[in-house]
Amino acid sequence: MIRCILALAAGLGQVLRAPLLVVAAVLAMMLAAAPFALPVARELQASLANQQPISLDAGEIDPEWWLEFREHADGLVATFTPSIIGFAAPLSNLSALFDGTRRPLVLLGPYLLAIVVWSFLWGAALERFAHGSSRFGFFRAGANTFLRFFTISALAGVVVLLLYLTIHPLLFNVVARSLEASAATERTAFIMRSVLYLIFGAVLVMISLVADYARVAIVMGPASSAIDGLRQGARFVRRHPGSAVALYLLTGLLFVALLAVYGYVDVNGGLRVAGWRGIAIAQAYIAARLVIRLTFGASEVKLYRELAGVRES
Amino acid sequence: MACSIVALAACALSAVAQPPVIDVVIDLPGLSLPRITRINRTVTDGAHLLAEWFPPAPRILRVSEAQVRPRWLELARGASLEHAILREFAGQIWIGEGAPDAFRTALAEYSAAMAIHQTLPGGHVHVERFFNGAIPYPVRQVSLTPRGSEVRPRLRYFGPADTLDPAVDAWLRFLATLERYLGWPALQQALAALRSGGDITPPRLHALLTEQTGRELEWLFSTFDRKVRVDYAVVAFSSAASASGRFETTVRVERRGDGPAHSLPVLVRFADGSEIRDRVDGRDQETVLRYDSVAPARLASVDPDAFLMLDADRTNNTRTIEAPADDIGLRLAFNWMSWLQDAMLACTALI
Repeated sequence: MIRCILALAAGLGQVLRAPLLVVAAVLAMMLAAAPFALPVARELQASLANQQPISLDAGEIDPEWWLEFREHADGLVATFTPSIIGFAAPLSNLSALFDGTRRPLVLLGPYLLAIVVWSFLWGAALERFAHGSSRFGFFRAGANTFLRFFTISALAGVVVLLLYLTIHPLLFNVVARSLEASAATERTAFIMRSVLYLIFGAVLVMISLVADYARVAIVMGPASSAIDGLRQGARFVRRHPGSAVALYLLTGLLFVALLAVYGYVDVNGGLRVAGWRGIAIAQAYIAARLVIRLTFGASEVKLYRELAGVRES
Repeated sequence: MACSIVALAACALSAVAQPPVIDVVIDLPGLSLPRITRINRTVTDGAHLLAEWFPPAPRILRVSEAQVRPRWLELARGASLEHAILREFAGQIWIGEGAPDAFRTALAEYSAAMAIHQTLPGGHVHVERFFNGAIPYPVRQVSLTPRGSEVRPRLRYFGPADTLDPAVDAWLRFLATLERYLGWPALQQALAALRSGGDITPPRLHALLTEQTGRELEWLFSTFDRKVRVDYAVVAFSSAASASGRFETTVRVERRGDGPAHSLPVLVRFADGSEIRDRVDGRDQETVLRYDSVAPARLASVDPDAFLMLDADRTNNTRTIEAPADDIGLRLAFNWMSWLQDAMLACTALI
């Protein structure tokens, strides 16, 4: 455990010493989302231009306008629900992940773009964490491993999709339903469901760990191809399951702490965190989430170096 | 402190000579004392309003856990228990022990919505539920009775969205149209007369409204009777400079589906702030309006005050030219972008 805590601390230190990398990740996520946000913004403007749905002094949104707008929205605009506001946004995404909520097919575009962006970003970031910034520049490092990282993400994506098509319905449509039917109260039913969330989450974590260490193995040298990387990643997780999972959970705790802070601010901030301030807070949350993600990558490099015995170049 | 409490409140109505007394009985165990106190205050006020609006007042309005089914986690800000109790009370007033039909159910839902808006102004917000509906979260920016909503269309249903019968929804839209055309006091008086004796049916409501308001409403009732789709749209809107240095504006209003035998207002707003209010015949398939003005037109809207709530798609009622960026729209778009960024991060977190 101490080794994992030290790896996490070292990873956080590395990320904090690389502010440009964080800025690059923040910009990349903004640029990736912007092309999809523009048409949504246009439709919203068109709908709002002629209505008086909102009391401007209070920052309140008229639910009747929203209901009417949603009733006739399609494509990406159909995802414009009240759960996109403030802390409800990460809650809805987490909830969708665990419940396997079917999202509109049109979101496939942003998801694929995110995979492409992160296939590049991980290459640049892990190269820096493993070998410093001197060996390759940011773009060359990202380009060097792009195809292999994209293949890893695509293969992991297929496996995750298969899990959602097989294990998830079994757990939540069959097991959960019979458990919930036997529960005396809604609270008991939710506790039972939470156990199933943990089981399904554990399977997802294993896939995530194999994909993560496959990328690390490629950057650290021993793996030359995506398949070789996945083999090395799986071997590493199999040999060091305790450390790999402990580091994942520690990073997960950071994420939970971030969610708790965001939730507290959003719930208790009242009108002080509404309007543009609310958007600034949402963007700060995204930036903090990116720092945690990069910290995880850096600490995985550190852990891999220590446990797999790969020498620093 | 969790406790089981039976609240008993007597509401004396001062508006009549012999004030009726209603016993409001709420039996909801497991709620904290401050919560049940707040609920009691709100629903007693709401019951008072319902009894005042729709006499004769029942002697007792009773609600139990089995009727409103409180969730494990309920948020006071969402006021969903207050909504459920007032909906139940309105149901007892309009439906009673009889078999509910779509019209009576809609009357109950509409009455409950009016009482909810009156008793909870600014005091309740939209609640989203996550993790299979178990975890609620208040979206405080979405106030269910926003300020200024008395002049705009309001929410007319506070029950679970997935249980709203389309026939009831259609009647709710119809009642909302009546309210916007006649005003709540006129509609409330007609509904009070409807409940005071005789059949509770649409033809009787029609007769009462005609008698009380002196307005001809055949066009509206017949439109609804035929169960046709009503949809008006501004399908073309242009404003171009002419050789004389003035501006020629053209507005094309189209009727999609059927329409009432009634005229509809059309608003055209110009860049210098001036406005023209015109009317089109609701039966016409298409109407082209032309204007000559010193300033270019910026907005054209059919039924701009949203009176005709039977309109199946109100999002196509208005068109704009060079509309200035709306601050709220920008903020909502940025909110959506933040949500999308988080969704993209959630998607790539596992792979």
